[in-house]
Amino acid sequence: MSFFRGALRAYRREFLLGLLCLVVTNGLMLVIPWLLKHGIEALQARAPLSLVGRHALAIAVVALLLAGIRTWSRLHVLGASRRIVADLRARVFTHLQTLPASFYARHRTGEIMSRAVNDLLLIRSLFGPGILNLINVSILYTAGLAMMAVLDPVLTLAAVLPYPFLLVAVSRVSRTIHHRSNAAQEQLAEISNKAQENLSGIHQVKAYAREDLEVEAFAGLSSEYRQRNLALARSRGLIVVLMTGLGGLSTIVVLWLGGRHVIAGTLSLGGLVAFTAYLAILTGPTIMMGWVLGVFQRGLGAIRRVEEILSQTSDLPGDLLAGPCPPLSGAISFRRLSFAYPGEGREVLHDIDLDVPAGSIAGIVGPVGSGKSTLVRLLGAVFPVGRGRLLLDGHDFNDLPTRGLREQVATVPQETFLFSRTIAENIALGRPEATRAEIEAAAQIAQLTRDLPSWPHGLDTRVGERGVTLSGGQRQRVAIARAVLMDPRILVLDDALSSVDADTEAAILAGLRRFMRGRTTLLISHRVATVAGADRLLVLDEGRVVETGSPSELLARDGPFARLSRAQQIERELEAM
Amino acid sequence: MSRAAAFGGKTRATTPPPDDDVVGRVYDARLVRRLLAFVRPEAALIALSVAFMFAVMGASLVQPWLLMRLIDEHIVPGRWQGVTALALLYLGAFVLELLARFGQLYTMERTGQNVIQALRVKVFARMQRLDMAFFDRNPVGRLMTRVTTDVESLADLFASGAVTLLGDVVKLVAIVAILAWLDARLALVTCTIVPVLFVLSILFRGRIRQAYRDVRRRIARINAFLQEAVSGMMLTQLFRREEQDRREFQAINDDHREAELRSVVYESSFSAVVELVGTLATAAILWYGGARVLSSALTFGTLVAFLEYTSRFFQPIRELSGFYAVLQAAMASLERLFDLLDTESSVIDGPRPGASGAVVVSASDRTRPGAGRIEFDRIGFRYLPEEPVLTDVSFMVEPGQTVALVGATGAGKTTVVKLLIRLYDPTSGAIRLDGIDLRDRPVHEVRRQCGLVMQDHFLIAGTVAENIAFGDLGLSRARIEAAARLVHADRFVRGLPKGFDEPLRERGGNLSVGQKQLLSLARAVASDPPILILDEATSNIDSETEALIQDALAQVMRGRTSLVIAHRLSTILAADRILVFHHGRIVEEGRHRELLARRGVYARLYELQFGARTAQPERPERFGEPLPVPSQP
Repeated sequence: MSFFRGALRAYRREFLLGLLCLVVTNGLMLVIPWLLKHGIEALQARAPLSLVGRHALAIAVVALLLAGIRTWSRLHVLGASRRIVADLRARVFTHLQTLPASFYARHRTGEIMSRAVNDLLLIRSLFGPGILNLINVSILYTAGLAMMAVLDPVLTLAAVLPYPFLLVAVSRVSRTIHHRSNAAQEQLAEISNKAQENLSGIHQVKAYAREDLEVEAFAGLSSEYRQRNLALARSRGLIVVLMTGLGGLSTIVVLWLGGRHVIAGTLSLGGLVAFTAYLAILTGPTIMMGWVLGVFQRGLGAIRRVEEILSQTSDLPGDLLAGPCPPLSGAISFRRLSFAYPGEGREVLHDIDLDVPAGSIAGIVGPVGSGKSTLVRLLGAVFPVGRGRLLLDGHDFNDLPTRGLREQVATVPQETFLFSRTIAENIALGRPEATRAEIEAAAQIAQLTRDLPSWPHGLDTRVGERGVTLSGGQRQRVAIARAVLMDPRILVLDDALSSVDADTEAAILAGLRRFMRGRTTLLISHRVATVAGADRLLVLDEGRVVETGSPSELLARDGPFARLSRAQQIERELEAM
Repeated sequence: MSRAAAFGGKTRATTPPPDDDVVGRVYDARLVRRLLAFVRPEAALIALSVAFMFAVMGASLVQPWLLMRLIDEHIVPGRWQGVTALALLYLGAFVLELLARFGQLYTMERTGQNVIQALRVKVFARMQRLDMAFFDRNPVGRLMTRVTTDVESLADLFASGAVTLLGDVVKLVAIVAILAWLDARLALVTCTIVPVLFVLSILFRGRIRQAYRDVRRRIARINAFLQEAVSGMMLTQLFRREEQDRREFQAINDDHREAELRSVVYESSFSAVVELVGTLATAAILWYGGARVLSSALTFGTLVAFLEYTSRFFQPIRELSGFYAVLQAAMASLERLFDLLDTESSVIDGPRPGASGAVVVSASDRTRPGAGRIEFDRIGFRYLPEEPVLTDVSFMVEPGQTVALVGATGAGKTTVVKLLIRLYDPTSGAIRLDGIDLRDRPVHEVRRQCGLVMQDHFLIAGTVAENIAFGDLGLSRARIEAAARLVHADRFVRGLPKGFDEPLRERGGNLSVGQKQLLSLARAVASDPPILILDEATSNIDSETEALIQDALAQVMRGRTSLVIAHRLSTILAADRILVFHHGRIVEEGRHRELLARRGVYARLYELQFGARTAQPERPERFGEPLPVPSQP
């Protein structure tokens, strides 16, 4: 809970001021019944109206003061809670940016969002109304009981007599409420799951004519949810009864016993009225107490979960290295490299040994799941290199600082992710300072220029706005332009042309060839035509390199690559029929 | 691309308008009228609730009056006699208030739950009736919020809802009436705070709502940014954009904080100001009432009772102003729910009224399965206007025949199946089953005549037996076991700890792919349908199970009209006829040898598949799926 204490310390001025103000306001609040008492006593004594009026005036003044100070103190404490959460949110975000791919593989986006959204709200409640009311309740209790004791100690004792019993009962029922509320939430989740299962498989439901049965099953779940909610409502009703009963029972005791005291002359009538007023002040906090406890419990739980994220660190050795990365020429060597994704035992690359000379184009082919993407992903410094070594220009990969490395290696991943910004901004992702001319040149190489007329504002069209959607091919070309603009030494295209038609692909490859002169390119593709112009080909299967050589050598060899080439020839013929 | 997704996965990507935080009307008579239709069955419960409400009110309002009598008749004159009786009366009123309060809370919750439950099931049932095009348009997540969040927001309407609202109004009026009865002039002074409180509440609520809306808008922006940043985090890191993102996030985070701090101003002052007004009223009563007590126009107890009653003003006024937001949210949800209930399916249950040649199937006919003659007559189909999926497809399958559909991925084979079971209606042409247009038959009847084995095995949470019966409740245990035996599924089922009563985990997580396939087969034949529709699986299965499945298939197809999306060479060779699909048309038709001899599309497909076979001998034979390297989709 270091965060909890840290936050309190960072905003101690606000919290202390708030505390002080709360003491004052609660004091003032307790003064009002006192003034009322004196006013009524004055009335009873048939004092002149001016005296009564003076008490009334005093009440009005105190009320004004009270409103002013209370507003001011709440402003401070609630304001502090908002600031604490804003700080924490920024901190969580900054931290998320440092976490590696393995973290994002373990935690789904929804889960992270839930930490960053729901848990922060819980923490906000803890620091805002939670702390505010905790202080309030404590002060009111101590002071209120003291005032009552001054008025009439015996009566006070009698008034608080039902409290212990009721508190025990209330805490019992609270536990039941907690269980029942969980049970209801679980059932709602069941309903959700059922709806999810049904709606995702709706075509099957229809195909098998299962609609009525599904409705029946759903109605069953829904009816169970209703039952659980009603059970919850019964407990909730009970707690309202108990809470109100607490106040009411005390009032009756006070009236009955207090009435005797007034008649006996040990308590003034004004005192009795003031006493009931204090009692009324105490009922609120008692009800509040249960709520405050819940807020603290949930808030501290949320802090634990958020701190769990903040305690995660990167597993990439290069992330720990400071300083610049030496300029690379782009020679890549794998030395008996094996790799398994973090947290998974199964190796997806086995004993890879290969060299890609600086300035060459290497084409990589192989079936789905053969390890092509994994192989090139390692170059992006996303996962730690496993067994064996990966060398860039002879430097061990793990000795190169990640950030400097990423400056020189640009990856175009299989799945294109576009941010909801303009196309130009998406291209300039890695270099926000790039000039318009540079962006346009990159777009030119990626053959995006031919699409410009189809977008309402050309490169300044926002992706996703008013139904502007990009086709798969367009998205891939934006991603290519993005990588080109980085001006990298090593360019990795992971099946990045799969949705681009053949003519456009040829144009892009021609442009890239000029651009990549003297740089290293790794080109993964399913299409023989795409990799036909590579200097060297690697054929992967089940995590191993099964064939290497120049395209013409491989075609002559009648191995997997030659067979693939023939199959695609037939496909082309089929397509043309 | 997984072929499993192909069956249901041809979702046309359209960008749906987001479900915004609707700032809509607070009250819409049309929506409320429709909601009332759901509320009406609960009239008795509501009446009970109202009765409880009046009991609460009476019991709670009588208390200050008893207090007044206690003071005036006993405490001030110092007469002890009768105090205990009054205290007991007070206790009685109090206990009554508690019980009635419980009753009111519970009956109201019950009403709400009943209405919500009915609405939820009705919405869900409506969804089940909608056509596939509707599901192509609406993402699952959005539809789910209809039966969860939207329905739940109505719960608030009931819980903090209508009866409470009525109660609040009545309570306010009652308090004013009692005060007027006790002392008209003091009541007049006291009641001046009512309009003040109302105006203050409304004024503040308006401002607070505006401030909250600002906050919500900004938090929505933060969440959207965060969602995108987390989804694209790898890219951000690869392109070293962290610093830029951080600055942008900081900016919107600060913006949100400022909006929050503005809302805090109202949040902090509202309750304080309301309380201030209340206390000022107390002061006024003390002063003005005090003057009247001194001039003996007012008893002492009345003054105290006044003070008590005014303290009961605040709760109803506060609740009344809070009800506004609840109502607004509920209206937005209702609008969406009724929109959904109003959506009609484009696949209309037959027979079409007055359609020429419509044959009304009598009830007795309905239970008797037909012979199973399938006829596709010049079928055209498109999901989107500009993209024809099937063009001019005509074929006829005689009862008992086996027809194999072959073709490359996307050639239209699966669409043929979808049309046959009426997941969609054809854009042009007609499909006839035993001579009757599908559109003139009840949808369910058509689907029940077809035994279906698709690639994504849809298993429900239930026992093995339930998964085989799958909706046919009339199926005897003997039939279920016979079906399992026919497809050789009984062997592995009996090996399960509880046999046919073994519960399956979600989506059959405790079964192997081959076992799921055998179960699907068993399900398809359990109801003994005249037509069998089969999408042969392409997933790898161990050779033993594979042999079992092959044999099971032969058993199952015997005597049934079978339409097979074929991938196995053995199936193709055994078929009475092969239909070759290419770009949404049937381009060739015949038996294996004839087609090979024609050296057309079929011959190429065959060569593509089995010509490359030697390269990957360990992979099972698959037709129409290029290997070893998948081509572009």
